Amino acid sequence: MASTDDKVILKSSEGECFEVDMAVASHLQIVKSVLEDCEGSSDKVVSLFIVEAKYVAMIIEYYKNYVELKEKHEEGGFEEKLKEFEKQFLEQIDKKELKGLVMAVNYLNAPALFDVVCTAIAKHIENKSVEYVREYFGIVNDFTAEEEAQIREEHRWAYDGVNDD
Amino acid sequence: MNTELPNEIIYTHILPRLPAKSLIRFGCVSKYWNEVIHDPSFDRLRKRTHVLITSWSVVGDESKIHFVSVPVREDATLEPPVHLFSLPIDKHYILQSLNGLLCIHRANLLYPYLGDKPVYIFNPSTRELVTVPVDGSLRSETSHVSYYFGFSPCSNEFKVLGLRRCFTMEFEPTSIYCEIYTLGSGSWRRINVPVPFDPDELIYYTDPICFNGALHWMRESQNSIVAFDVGDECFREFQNPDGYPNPVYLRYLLVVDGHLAMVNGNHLYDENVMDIWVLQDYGKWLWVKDHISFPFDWTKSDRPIPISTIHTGELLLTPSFSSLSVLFYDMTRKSFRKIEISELPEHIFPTGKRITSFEENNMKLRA
Repeated sequence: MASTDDKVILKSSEGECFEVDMAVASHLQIVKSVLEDCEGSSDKVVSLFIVEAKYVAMIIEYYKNYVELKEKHEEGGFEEKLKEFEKQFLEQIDKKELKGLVMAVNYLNAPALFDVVCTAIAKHIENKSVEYVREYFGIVNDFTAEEEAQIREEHRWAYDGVNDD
Repeated sequence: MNTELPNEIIYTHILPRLPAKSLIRFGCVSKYWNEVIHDPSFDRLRKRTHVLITSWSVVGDESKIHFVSVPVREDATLEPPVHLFSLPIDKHYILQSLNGLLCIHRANLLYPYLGDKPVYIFNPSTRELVTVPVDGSLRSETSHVSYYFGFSPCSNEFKVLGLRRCFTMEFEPTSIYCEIYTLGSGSWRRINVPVPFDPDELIYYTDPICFNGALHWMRESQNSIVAFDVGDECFREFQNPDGYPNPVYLRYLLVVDGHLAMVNGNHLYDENVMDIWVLQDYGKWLWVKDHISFPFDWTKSDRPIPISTIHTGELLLTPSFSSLSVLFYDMTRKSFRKIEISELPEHIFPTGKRITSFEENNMKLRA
């Protein structure tokens, strides 16, 4: 049983608190450096000012499983098990939330999950239409109708087989 | 928290993970996206491999080569085949796949010289084609000409090397001319370098492989490897490693896991073992012998031969015969996966089929 010394409290932007094992929280570089800065202090609360509670919960869930799987499959097979978990982890996240999650992960500086979420976003838009992608990322089309038509004409085949569902 | 992603995340972490086709489509999302995607320094994180099937057909008088790509997914399964393009060439075509580009031409190795057929350079990721007309001025003197496609990482240039063998008066030595076409330059130029072999020898040779900025050929008669440096435009010759046996059956060069390698099929018939000599250190010319042990009778199956290492780290092996099944070989675990390629697109039949691979590259062929 881990002692309370091995725990840290992460505080979301709404002020919600999450008690987390150090082994899990140490995967978040920002938490690690904050704790190193106030070493010796008994106060182990880290405020994640801009991260909403729902993203804090997702990130904790990911790294909790990451740490557990790593321990359990020390002898090998960790990567396969992690891939399986990542698949079901991503399935429960709304596609729009992936954007909020990647920003939260970027802020917390957690490389493994950052890679996973970027790949998931790329996978999500891979077969989408241009219109969908503009809307998804909030990008304003600054081509004139003629310019856009000309670009589309050059590579008509690239616009086949899109699926926005 | 505002949920619009910072541009830095989109441009450097999400777009580089997309396949070539999506990137081309997203070139019309906005002007800035178009610029980012087509910038020469735009670096793809995951360069997907495609299995490439070329097949030949004749309709009426017209002979065509069809190019069909089968994208290999991230999880190493295959997507359905897509017909990319067809070119008006007959079945005697030569195809080289190099850094995502294909170089195709009509084989001109045998007399009589059929003359002046163009060399095609095709980017299968963007489906852009460049037709390179060949120099017709020496047509009547030419006995044959062969073309080789190379890339120099130093100058970042693709070049076609033409070796033209010309007739001379009886008893006089044959003249061999070296011609170079740099992709994007628009013209051929002749270079004056000694060619250390008669290109006639190459008739019996397998295709060269471009590695480390040089084209490499196996020169069996001399037990050596000849290299043409694509950047410096000169030839060099190296001896085969000690103990490399003169191949009796199968021999060719390929790149395995980032190293130049030589296949030797001396033990295929009796032991189902393919020897692969891998050049571990190019500078020291240090070769290490490895092998693939087939868990089946190699001669009685499709006679699969290794082609290239793909993005999963596995070695792709393609059948020598008519079958459309490919093998992926995990070199560490020494295990095979066999995948059948599903039906080819309509009107394409596996006549005169060859299977190779290419890695996606969004490079524009025309400046």
